Amino acid sequence: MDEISFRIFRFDPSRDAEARYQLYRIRPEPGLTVLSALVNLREEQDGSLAFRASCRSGICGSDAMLINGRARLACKTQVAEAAGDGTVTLEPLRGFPVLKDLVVDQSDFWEKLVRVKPWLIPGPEPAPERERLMRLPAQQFDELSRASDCIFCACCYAECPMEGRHRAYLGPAALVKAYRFEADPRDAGSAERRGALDHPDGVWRCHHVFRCTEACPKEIDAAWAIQQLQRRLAARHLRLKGDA
Amino acid sequence: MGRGFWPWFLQRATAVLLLAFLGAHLWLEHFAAPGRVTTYRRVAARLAHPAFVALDWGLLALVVFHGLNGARTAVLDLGLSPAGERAVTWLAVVLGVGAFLLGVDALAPFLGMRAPIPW
Amino acid sequence: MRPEERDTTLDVGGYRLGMWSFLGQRFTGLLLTFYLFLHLFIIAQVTRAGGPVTFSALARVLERPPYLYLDLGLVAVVLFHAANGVRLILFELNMAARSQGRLFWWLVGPAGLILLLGGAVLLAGVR
Repeated sequence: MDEISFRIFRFDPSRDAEARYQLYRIRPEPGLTVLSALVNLREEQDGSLAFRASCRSGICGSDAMLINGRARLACKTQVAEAAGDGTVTLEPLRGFPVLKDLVVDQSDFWEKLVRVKPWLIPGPEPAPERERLMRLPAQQFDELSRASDCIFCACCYAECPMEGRHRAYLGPAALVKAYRFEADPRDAGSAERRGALDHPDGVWRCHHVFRCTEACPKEIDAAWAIQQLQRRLAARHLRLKGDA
Repeated sequence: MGRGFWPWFLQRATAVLLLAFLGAHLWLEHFAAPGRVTTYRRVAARLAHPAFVALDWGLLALVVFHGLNGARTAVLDLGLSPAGERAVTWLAVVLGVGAFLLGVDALAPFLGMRAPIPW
Repeated sequence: MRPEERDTTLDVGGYRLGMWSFLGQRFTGLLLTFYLFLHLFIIAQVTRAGGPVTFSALARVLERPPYLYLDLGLVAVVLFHAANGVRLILFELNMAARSQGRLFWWLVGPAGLILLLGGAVLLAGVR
């Protein structure tokens, strides 16, 4: 393949007053991913380049960044595909404070996730003497396993226009996690989660732009999961029957 | 709780009702009698019937609420301080009451009512 | 540019259907709300201050071109807002979980047809 350019967002808070873009030229091997290209660049051309990565196979969720303006995992994006016009532009995720170059501070993201209590909250029945068996029918497990696929890469936050405007919004990943437990028949934590979910900055901030669903590298239908939470809460407000 | 739900729910409820009310309004004004010009007397004659009066009052209330509730949501999506949110909500209420009074003012002469706004 | 000065409201990478329909719904909604005030204000002014003669005279002007074209534009805006709104409500009722994208065209398309038909009827009625 011909030589292509990487146009990379550079910012070092200890030295730079302003962010800039730096151009690098590489000759990609077939099958090269954006992440591998970044590793090569750091080893061969510029040791100061900062990015975050770990597993290199789309499981850890560390290397989400804007690739040509869209939030994607660098390890799951082929250079040949991204370099349509000969240039790949890499920027840190939108909506998060930039720590250095492509590395962002995700504290806010984790804080929102914890706010929906993303764990199984058991019912009030007395604690068993030995262990508690909490089995789930296979079909229901399949339904919930989709929402469990989330790798916390925060691509959906970088793509959501509501997050872009309104940082207090809980956001897609946290709401997907909330749905995963709200829809679990073994969970009895609805009342504890309600304060966070049934709030202007909870499920009601979503206006179905579907960018989260489009962006998710694990193909989770986040917009649909949020819609399900809206429906559950609406049924509760309107005291409709048939609501769990 | 409900601070997020009720504006969300009422926006959808008024939307569904507006499909009927606004559809009827546009049909009556433009297509019920094509080629016929609207005159004061025709409007007054129509408004002698309680169904048309109900249509206009209902449409006025629904459309004012739906419009201002939607505008409020759009502004609040920008992310304001709690004081800013309260100010926007009150502004929407004041504008809503104002718009409703304008509507009453427009309907009053046809219905033989005292108009609320002294122009 | 400081990194935190990046515009995150509208500069959000590629736009697809969901984003266009969202912005379209916002824009048409705000436009219609503005028009509502104008509409009520004009009618209130004309019926109260102008009286029956002014009302009928103004109606005659407003129901012909060029105002008739503006009126048709308004109907186009209403039809888009309504069609897209129906799509969102169907999605929220879980009746279009997988098909909301296609549904956009299935609703906005017929709305466009209604506009064309209605426009033809209106323009044919003008003498």
